[in-house]
Amino acid sequence: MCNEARPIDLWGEFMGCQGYQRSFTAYLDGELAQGQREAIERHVQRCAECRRDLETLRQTVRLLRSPLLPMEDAPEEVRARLTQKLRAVRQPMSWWERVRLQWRVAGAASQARTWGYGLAATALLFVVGASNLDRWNAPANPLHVGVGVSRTEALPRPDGHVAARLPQPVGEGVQIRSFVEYPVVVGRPAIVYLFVEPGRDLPDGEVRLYPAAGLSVGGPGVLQSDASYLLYQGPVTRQNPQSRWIPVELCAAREGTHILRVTVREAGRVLSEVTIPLRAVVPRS
Amino acid sequence: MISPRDAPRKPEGPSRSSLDQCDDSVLIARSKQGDRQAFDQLVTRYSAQIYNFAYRMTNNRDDAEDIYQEAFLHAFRGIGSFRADSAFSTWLYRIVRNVYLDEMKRRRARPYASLEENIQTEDGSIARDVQDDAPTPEEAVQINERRRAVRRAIAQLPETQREILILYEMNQHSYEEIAAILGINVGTVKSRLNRARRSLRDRLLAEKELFDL
Repeated sequence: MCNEARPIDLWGEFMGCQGYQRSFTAYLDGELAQGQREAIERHVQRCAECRRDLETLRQTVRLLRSPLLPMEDAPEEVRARLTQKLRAVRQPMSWWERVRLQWRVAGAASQARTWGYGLAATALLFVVGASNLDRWNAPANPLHVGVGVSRTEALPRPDGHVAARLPQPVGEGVQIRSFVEYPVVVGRPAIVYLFVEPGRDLPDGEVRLYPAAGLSVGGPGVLQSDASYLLYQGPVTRQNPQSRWIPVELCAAREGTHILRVTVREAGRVLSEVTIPLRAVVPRS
Repeated sequence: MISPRDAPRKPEGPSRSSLDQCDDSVLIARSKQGDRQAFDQLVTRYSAQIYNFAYRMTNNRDDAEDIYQEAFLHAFRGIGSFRADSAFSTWLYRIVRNVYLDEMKRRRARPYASLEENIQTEDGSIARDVQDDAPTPEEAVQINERRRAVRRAIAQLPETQREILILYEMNQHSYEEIAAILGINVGTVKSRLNRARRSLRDRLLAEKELFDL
């Protein structure tokens, strides 16, 4: 054991070689101040045991970080198997499914009376994922947001930022029943969910979005305001979740109300067209 | 009829094509709604970290693959419960660690020797991962022996020491990140890392050729 007479204050009361040795990990990780590093370097020059201790530790760390043990990723076939399994997994009932269930339970009778035999499609717009929604006192729990949707006549209006729209016919077999609007934050991408519920099955359906100027699709910096975006192509049915619940990433470039135009087509023919105002605000500091 | 997957991506389907540019919070929000493509993107982002952790912990590819898949399936099923009070990677690591611990409980009887991953060929058993850049056969043998020695030494460490070495040295997480993953404080991370390095060093010293002293 080395008998270094004058310890350094690296580990408080841990003095002598033990104190130095306990500091070697921090030394190797570059965690020590210059004075402490120099003290260790002076010490290991004089103390063969500590020199060996430090050197073997250094080489151990080097081995661990060497190409001998590269960072390994899952082989492609494992990724592919995982993707397959994920397709088969059913998540626990999501909040919007719970919402839908509540909406059906609460409103089934009156909806049937109001809209006959369900020859209606619902375009329901949610804005979620916009960070700091709580700045507007919007309900933090998405389920709560959805509960509001179920009560079309008496939507909660937290801080005035939730708007209910009465049913309005917007095209053949399609109606906007209601939607809830939250403001998006200028410059921050937000996920907008478009809920399309057809009154009848559209085997060759299509849902297309025409965003307004100042509203980019796909995140900031991807401004393609003149383009229309084919959000979904395929069977639009009540049973097909892909056609019912379509996420779109939007980013507003400026404050104000932006108009989203959404068309539902069958075999290329426009069945309905809806316009949905989306408000964008600058966060309060 | 064109399926959505076959449909052209630009400008059609922009939200999907831009997934790789979305930050985690966006992908998580979408995953919570059951969007598997968003979750696939999260898998892509964290695949190497999670697989490497599982592989280095088990020292066995088959086990690592099972744990890796199980962890992501757990994560997908449970993403609704993920709260943004920790990083997503921290949450994922906790899951993969739990899956690993559960798996090891079930396989406790299995000796380490069986975790060495060799491939049986007509000429006998060879290690699977001799894939260095065109070494000579002699170099390949040397490299492989060194690799196996290090892997064996890591596999012999207690789990708490092994995981901290993997997280810090290989997956290159900070003290703070490791503290969050393991649910310990930073001081404990440092002292545990120190012990783990020393413990590994002491085991490796038996293989003198690994050191240049």
